[in-house]
Amino acid sequence: MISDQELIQRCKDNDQSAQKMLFEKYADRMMAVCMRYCKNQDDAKDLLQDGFYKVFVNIKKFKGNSTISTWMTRVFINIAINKQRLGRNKYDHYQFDPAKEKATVDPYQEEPQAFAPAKVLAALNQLPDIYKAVINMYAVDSMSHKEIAKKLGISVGSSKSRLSRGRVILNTLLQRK
Amino acid sequence: MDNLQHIDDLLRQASQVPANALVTASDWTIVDKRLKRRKNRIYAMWFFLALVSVSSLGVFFYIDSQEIYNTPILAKTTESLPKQDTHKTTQNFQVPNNADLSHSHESTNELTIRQSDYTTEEQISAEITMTDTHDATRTPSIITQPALYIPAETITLLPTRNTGSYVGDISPNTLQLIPPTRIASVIANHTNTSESTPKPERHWELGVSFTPGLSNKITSESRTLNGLINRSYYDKIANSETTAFSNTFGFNIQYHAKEWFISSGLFITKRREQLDYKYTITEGPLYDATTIYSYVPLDPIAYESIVYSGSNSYHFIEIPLNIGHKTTISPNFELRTQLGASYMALRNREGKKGNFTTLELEDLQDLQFAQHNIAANVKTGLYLNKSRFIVGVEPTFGINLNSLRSVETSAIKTKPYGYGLNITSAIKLFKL
Repeated sequence: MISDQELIQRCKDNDQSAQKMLFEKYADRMMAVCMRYCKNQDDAKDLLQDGFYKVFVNIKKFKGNSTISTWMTRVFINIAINKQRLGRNKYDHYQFDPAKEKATVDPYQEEPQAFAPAKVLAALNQLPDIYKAVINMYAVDSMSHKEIAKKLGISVGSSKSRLSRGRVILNTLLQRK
Repeated sequence: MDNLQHIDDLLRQASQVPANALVTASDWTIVDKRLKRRKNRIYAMWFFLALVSVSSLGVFFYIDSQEIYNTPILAKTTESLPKQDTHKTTQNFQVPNNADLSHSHESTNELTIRQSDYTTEEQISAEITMTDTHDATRTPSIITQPALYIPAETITLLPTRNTGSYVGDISPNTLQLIPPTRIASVIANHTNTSESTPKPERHWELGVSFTPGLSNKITSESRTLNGLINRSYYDKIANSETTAFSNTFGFNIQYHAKEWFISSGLFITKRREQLDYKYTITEGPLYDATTIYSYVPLDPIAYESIVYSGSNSYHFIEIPLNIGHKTTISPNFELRTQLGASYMALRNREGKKGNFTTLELEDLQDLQFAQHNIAANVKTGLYLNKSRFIVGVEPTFGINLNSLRSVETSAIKTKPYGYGLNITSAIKLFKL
């Protein structure tokens, strides 16, 4: 079994077999990342291919300060964000209705409901991109609001409000099903 | 909204589920194709840059050398000649035979010097021919002399009589105006003692080379992993791998100094091997990291039939550094021999190969190869050597000095070699 370190070194030397091994090792994990940031499977596949291409092109810049999967995830997120900025992933205008959304939140519910992962991801996919990106970066990829704001080119306040709204919408979507 | 923070936990849990079912082999194929396209673009870019650099360098030196030859004589002879108005486009001089040039302005005959004219050896010869008729009478000549151009550093006033060789009827005054480096050729043209074009001793050559040939490989066993070689390997696999056509092409650059030269360039070298596998795997080896310790006969229904015919290709970027020697065998032909080493970067490999342990077919992309290789090469051949270009044909042989297969993972060490007929044509960029 080849270690990540050796695999990375060989990828840095443009060893195609090592690149293939790295792809096979992390493709499923990265696909999960892609699915979280994309609207559908086709977009996710595009992102997966773009992401791995960028990873191999830029792997010499990987200094080993974090795990390779963390670094790769950041690469994938950056590409996803850039795509959104370029408008490749169509922005769908979600009509936010505070009254309607609030009504779905049960203030007396003490234990949060459990949902199947597939259902959560399906609900996430229905979120508008502006909320989806923030909630993904904050909740799953553990980025700070400052970092999110910088990546998305928005203010920290906007990042916080989008996270809050995203949670509300996501909860609504989960409750509806 | 704090009560909605459990949404984050739900998302985190959901994101832990890998999406492997969605990833297909075609995803890797697409990524791989894009990477290959990028590599090709990079090669093309470097190739183009190298070409532009070499061409620019060549043109620069060529122009530089031309400028030296174009330096007007008047501007360079002010120390030898009396002060004159060099702004005039024509001047009249009287040039008596055997007279020192510094006194020429006092004579009655005319020497017309036009700065705007260009001097060639033919023109000089023509003028010399003109002086012949007048010299017969040993009277002062009337010379209409186009401007002569002499390198600033090399201008000297020659002794009026002692030229060191027979010059026939050439006026010593004429010789005074000829660059020392050209006197020999002018005399040669005038006396018709030789028709050959003088070859510059030092110069650059830039050209293209193409080498169609054949390639094969030398194999040997790894000392540490030879226990992993299947007992049927040589019979079923090694003996089914034979010679295949290969080729090399690219740009070459050479620097020539007298009879020695240094040669380099940038080449794309392809080495290949022909495979004709036709065997059946009837037993499975049991092995550890270094040794096959047993063979288990397979059930006939589990026999695996391998029928594969094709060629494996290994693509290299080659940068040679050779030292060569040339021997002139006639006015127009040279025998050149060169020997040296090449850096060979393995950029791609295509094909399949039988595994030395299991005998199963493996894709070359899945095997480990040395990316950086050193090869030795030797070539000798005949070159047509003209004043401005050369064309050569020479048998060549090159062999990788290190094993192409990674010695850490392969029990078989492979050193590809190629031999063929190198066809080279090049231009002489400039003379020094």
